Amino acid sequence: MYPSELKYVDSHQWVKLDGDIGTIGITHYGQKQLGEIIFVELPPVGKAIQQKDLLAVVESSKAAYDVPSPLSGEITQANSQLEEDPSLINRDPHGEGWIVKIRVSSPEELQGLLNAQDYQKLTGE
Amino acid sequence: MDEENRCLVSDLGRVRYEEAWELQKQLVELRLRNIIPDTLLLLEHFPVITCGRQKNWKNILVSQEDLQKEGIQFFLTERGGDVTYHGPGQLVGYPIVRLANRYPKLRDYLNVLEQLIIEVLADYQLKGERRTGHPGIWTKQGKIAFLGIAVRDFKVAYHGFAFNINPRMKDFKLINPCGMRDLKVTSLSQIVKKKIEIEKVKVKIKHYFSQLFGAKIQGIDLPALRHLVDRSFPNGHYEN
Repeated sequence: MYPSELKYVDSHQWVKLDGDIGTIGITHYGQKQLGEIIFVELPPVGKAIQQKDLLAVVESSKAAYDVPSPLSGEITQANSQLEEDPSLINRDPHGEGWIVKIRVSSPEELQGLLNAQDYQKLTGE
Repeated sequence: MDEENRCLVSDLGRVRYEEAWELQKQLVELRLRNIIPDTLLLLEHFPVITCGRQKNWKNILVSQEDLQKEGIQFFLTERGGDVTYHGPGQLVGYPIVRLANRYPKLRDYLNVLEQLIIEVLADYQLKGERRTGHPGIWTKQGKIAFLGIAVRDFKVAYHGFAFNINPRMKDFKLINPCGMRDLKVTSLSQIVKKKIEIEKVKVKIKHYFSQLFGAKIQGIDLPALRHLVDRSFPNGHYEN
């Protein structure tokens, strides 16, 4: 269920690290919690972001969720597919439904993230 | 003290939008840190139009100047949902609730808020209904309650519901409420054809809230709530 090569946070985001670029998205549990996502607000490319800062906003059924950033860095890419097709997050949360890529500025933050096993335990699934 | 079963309720009376908004954000911080239990704010706003995250300006049908002339404020907020109106005579509720295990799905939480309105309407022999895909409560005469929620860190919900008791109905013509053109909007007083006092509805809301959330209500007045906030943020800084 939760790919072992990803890292996780308890606010239901995942991170995939490739060199110094981290891809970030919402986990399967997170998208289930939301229901069908109808709107995504992406950050601008180039934006500097601190860990726990607002990364993006997703909305479903009258509720807007502020997605906090698991890591600090600079936004290098935002998944513009989500503007046309927000429910991609529901259909493929760990793959095509990625939200942003960031250039990680503080790699030591990765130490504090959860591995797949611990995250799975957290969700109780 | 079993935090899970305790809920603070504060009646703010009639307040400016920005005042209640600021207070909500402070309480969300306190809730995230478990300094307070779940908290319900009950209030009325001075006339105001607010927009959710999607910023659907086109659903405000008049210009900013016209709004100003009418004495109606405008705010862009972080909640979900489209454009809405708040004003005296409309009971607004902002539950600050940790979703966690009790409401693993957002829909579960929305269901409880909708049920709250349904229970109160039943006391007036009225049938409140849900509509699939459109959170809020309808009666035969039109939409009577509105929902718009924001969630911090996937953990704490805020903003909430707006329940038309006896608001100035003509103000709804300034917008496409919830982004729906020609949406029929109604109020409790309009349906029962007599003025319902908002204070009486607040009592019912507290009662059913306590029942539906399985919580023991503890009243707290605004000064005491502010004192709690000031004590927790001595430098006035609460944002992460």
